[in-house]
Amino acid sequence: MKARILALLLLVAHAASGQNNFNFIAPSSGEAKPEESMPSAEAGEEAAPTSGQAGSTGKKTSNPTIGGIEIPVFDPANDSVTWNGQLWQVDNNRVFRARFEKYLNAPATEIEAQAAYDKVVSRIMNLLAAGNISNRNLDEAFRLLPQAASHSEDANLCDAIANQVLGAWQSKRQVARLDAANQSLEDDRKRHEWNTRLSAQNSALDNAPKDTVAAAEWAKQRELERTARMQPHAQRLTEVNALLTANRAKSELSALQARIEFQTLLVQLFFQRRFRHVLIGSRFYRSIFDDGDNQIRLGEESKSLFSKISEIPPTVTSLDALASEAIRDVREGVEAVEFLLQKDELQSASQRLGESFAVGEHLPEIQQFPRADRQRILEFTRRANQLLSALEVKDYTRAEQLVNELQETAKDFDPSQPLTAVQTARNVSRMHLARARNAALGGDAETLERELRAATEIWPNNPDLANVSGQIFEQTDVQQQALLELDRLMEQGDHRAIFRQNAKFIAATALHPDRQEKLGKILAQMGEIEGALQRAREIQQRGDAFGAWESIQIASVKYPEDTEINRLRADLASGGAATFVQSLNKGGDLEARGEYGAALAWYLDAHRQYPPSQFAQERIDALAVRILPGSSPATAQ
Amino acid sequence: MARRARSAPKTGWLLAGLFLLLLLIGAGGYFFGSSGTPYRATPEFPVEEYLATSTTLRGNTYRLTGSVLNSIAWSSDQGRLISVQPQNSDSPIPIVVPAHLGETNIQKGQKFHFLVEVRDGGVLYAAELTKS
Amino acid sequence: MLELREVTVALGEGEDAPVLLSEISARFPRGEVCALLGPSGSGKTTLVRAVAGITAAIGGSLHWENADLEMDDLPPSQIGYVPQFTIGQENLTAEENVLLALRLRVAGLRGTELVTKAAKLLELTGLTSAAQTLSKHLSGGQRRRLALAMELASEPPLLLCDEVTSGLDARSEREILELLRDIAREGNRVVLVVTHGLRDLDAFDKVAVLVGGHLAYLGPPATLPHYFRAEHAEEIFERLPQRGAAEWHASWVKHRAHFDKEDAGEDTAEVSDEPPTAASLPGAFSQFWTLLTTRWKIFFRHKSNIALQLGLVLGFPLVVAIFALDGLPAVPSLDAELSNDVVRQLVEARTFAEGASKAGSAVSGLILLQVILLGLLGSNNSAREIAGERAIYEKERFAGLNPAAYVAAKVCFLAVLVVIQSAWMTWFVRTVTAFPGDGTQQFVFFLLVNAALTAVCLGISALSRTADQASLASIYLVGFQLPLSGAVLALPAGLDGALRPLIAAYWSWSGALQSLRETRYYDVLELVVPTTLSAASLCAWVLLLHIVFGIFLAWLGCLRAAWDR
Repeated sequence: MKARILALLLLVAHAASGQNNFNFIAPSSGEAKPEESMPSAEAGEEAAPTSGQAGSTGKKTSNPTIGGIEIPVFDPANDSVTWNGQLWQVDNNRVFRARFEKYLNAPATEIEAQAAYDKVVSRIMNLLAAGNISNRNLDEAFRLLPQAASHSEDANLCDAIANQVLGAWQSKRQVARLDAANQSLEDDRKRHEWNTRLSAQNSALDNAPKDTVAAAEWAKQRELERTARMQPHAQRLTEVNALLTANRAKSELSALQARIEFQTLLVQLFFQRRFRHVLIGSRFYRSIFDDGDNQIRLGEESKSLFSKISEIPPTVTSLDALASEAIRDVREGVEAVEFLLQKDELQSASQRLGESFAVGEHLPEIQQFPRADRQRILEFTRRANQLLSALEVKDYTRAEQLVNELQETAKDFDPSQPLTAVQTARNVSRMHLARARNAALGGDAETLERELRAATEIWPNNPDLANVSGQIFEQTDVQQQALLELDRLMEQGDHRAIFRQNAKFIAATALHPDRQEKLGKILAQMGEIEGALQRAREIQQRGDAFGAWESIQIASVKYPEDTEINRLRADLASGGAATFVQSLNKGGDLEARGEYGAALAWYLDAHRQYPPSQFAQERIDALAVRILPGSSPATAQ
Repeated sequence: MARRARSAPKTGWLLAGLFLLLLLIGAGGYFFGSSGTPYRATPEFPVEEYLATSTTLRGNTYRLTGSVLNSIAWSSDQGRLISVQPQNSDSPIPIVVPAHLGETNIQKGQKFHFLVEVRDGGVLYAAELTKS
Repeated sequence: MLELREVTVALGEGEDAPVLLSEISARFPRGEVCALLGPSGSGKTTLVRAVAGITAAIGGSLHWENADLEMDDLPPSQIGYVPQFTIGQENLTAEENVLLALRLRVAGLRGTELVTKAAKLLELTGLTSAAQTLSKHLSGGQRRRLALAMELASEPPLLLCDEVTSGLDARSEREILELLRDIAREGNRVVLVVTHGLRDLDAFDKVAVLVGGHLAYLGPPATLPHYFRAEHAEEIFERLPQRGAAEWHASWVKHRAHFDKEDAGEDTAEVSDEPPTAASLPGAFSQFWTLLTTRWKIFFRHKSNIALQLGLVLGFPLVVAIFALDGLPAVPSLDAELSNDVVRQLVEARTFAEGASKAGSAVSGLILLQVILLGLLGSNNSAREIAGERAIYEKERFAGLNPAAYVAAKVCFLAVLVVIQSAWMTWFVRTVTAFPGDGTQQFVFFLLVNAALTAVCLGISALSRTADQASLASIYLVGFQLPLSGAVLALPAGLDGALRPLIAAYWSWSGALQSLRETRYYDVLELVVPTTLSAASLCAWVLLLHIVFGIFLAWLGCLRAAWDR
């Protein structure tokens, strides 16, 4: 039962704090009485679910509503709660996590401030303890209420109680008490005035630095501090004044009204998990309304709700008991947490603490929980939260990393689940990538796309994803480009460029037989040309410029367009083989003009320069036949 | 002066005789040397001009002294086509030695004096040749 | 009569020239033999040479039959000069020598007349018994007689004898002197005899005593001792140094008149106005012919010479042939085809070069060898030809031999040798080695080089003082032919032009090589021969000039008087 209660309260509280503010307690009179808007100090405290704002986000589920507001329904079977159409794990709620983290991160000063408040509250509770009930204690306690309320942690709840008490007293026309109350308020006011004044002064202990710039800074700093010190007091002062005013202006309340109001307040406090306030309030109530009738009169919905929770009829006493139980629960929980922490079982510790926090957030055990321990749990919790986030966004790499870290710090952390999730995701993603790669090689663009998408969905941050897809796209891109380039070069007739990058083009045309054929022809041609060039150059290297020229000349007859051939030919013709080529050329010119004798002389000269010359020999033979028709090449005489 | 010694020869006679000897040898050298070149009257073959363009030389006769380089072609009725290295040029010159001059044993390396005619196509025909 | 008037002879022409004869005045009538006495260096030979005209007189005059010899010299046939040592051809008999002398000096003698005359001379000089003996086998005395006989060939009225009796034994000396007296009497000759011997002074008609270039006494031998206040003639030489030469001369001048008177009486009886019958010299051709025939005779007499000649003539061609007994290497031919195969062409070219070089050097070498050897033969022919008999030549020349005839005779004699040598060389080498080319042309050039060197060496022979000198010079000449011919090594350019004309070997070699013009050898010669060849006609021309020049030198040399003996 306790768990259920806790769950309910937790969720309600989370929903309220993180989301809209809503009025969830509606009186059976149907009149949605706006809550007394109590000015609450916002500083340091998360939004108290007190500001009235009717209306809420109506949702589709058939969750019950309180005052028109949907109530999250706790499902004990799987520790989840349905609310807002969503399924929440008990402590897996993002909002809760955020609040819990904030709690864990609370600075030291907050804790100290909390300590002061707790002290006051404890005093009040002591005064109102069952054995201590007396008028004087009541008064004392009553007097302390405003003091307690002056702490921001109180969220003015003590003031609310005080208000109700006062109202109740007024209803009893206990003027004296009213006066006494007013008196205490006066005293309080004065005290605050004094505090204000005091804090307005700078401490004598403060030493100003010598340096003027630093002194100015220091002065500024001191000023800020002074203001900060003053502020709460000043604010309180304002409040007190307001209260006084309110008190004086207060009209008589009907006794019942007072009682109902008081009850309402108590319920409210309970649902707000202000268990101590509940206790305080209930004791005040019983002391005031001592007729024994402490039946809580709620609306029908509330009743049914209550019945769901417990079979106990809703009375103030039962409320008191529940509150006490809750307090005890939390106390035990915190002890357990400490124990677990000692054993380094951070997961359990944080869970426990979370549960305890969910229930008794406002209780001193929780609020006074040591900072160091909180930090430890915070660390763990943060990591756990990050892990959950990572898993949610499918950043499995990070998830894995976090799992490892968590394993180190928390002995009871079970990595199997997250790891499994990670591994599964990875494998699946890889599988998809592999399929995608194959598809790319096979040219199946559709499958490629599908598989890539699948891989991305499963593990968006897969490092291989970027590589592979990049490669694939690059590959495809490159191949495509290569084909384009090949087409361009073929059109231009720049066979040499094609030859130079032949490997690339061969690869690119692997699947294009028509292009492949053309490419093959071109490469064969170029191979021949390069071969001829190579031969010619080799011959040239040997110092035989004539032979080189002849060799390249033969090639140039076959490939007159090739630039390299022509270039080499020209080089040789103007360089080492210049005279030889000149002789041949002159012979050619003269032969064309019909001067066979002189032409033959030039060819003979070429032959003299380079006896193995084929060209010269050819021309000589040709001219010999022309000059001496019917002659045969002479043999040795 | 002794009566019988009157006709003693002077050294002067000796020197005069020597001088005369040398003179006569020189003269002989000039006459015999120059007369040794056959076809002296014919102009020398202009190799460079021929190689540039042979059209202007067509129909003329020249003398060319050179050594036989190669035998390029042979025809029983038309004679031989040989290449000759002129004595004052590096470029080989082709000459047709007609069949009627074929008795002359033409060997590679032999030096001849040719009397050449420039015929159609700038082709040189040997009209005469003597061994140098 | 021979008269000397104040004849003075000095050595050289300067003021300080040593005086050999000073103011010799003397008369030598015909039909008398006069002795010229005096210690060594007294001027006896000088006097005789002055009389002969060999030595020039710087002062005074000489007269023959009152004619100044300076103006009107006696023809060579009129003076006989018998030198101290016989200069007859060793390889001729006495008779032949006399015949030679007759033929050279006396024109118009032929056949029997010649022989008779020769016999008479031989008889006159008492050589009849030795007529057929070779001169080299004659005794000393016989040689003197021969000399006399030869000098008497032209019957000279004046006979000069230079120590003709020295070195002979007493008997021979006496005989010679008596012969001289007979010659003087019978031929009405003036016979002057330079003598050292004082034994047989009474054989003389007159005695002239010279001392220190001065005439100390001229008169009958009988009064000689008295004049010199000696008991015997032999003592005169002891007396002579007692006074200075000039004193003696002065003394003689004083006493001369006395002896002159006596002379005059004796002389006049025998003076006749007959002009001396001068035998006319034979013509140049006659002399030439005589010399030529005599030379051949001598040649064939000289067995060792013949042997040498044969040896050389036969041996040298053998030396040449040995180098090519198997014939000459053939000339390879080059493939004239236009070939692409550079390597093959190079190999072929190299092989060709090797073969061609071998063939070319063989041919060139053989030609050169023949040229050099023939040059050697040529020099051997003529080096000693003139120089070896210079004395004989001089004597004959004194006796009227025409130098041109002499040279011509030499030339003709040598020409025959040259022709034979050259022809044999050419033929032999060609036959044995199958030497290619025009044989005639080769023969011509071999002949020419042989002739050229023969001629030039003949010239050297004529110009040389001694035969050894001539030999040496000729050898050097031949020796330099080889290196300077340019056939082995090319001469440097400047030297080439300067020396080439004078090196006969080059011209012959060049001309001979031209004979190969029509053969393949000629083509490859260019590869081998370091110097350019000259045209055959030029070569022949130069060699002919060499020959002419050589002969000219010989003639020049023969004109030179070489009385240094």
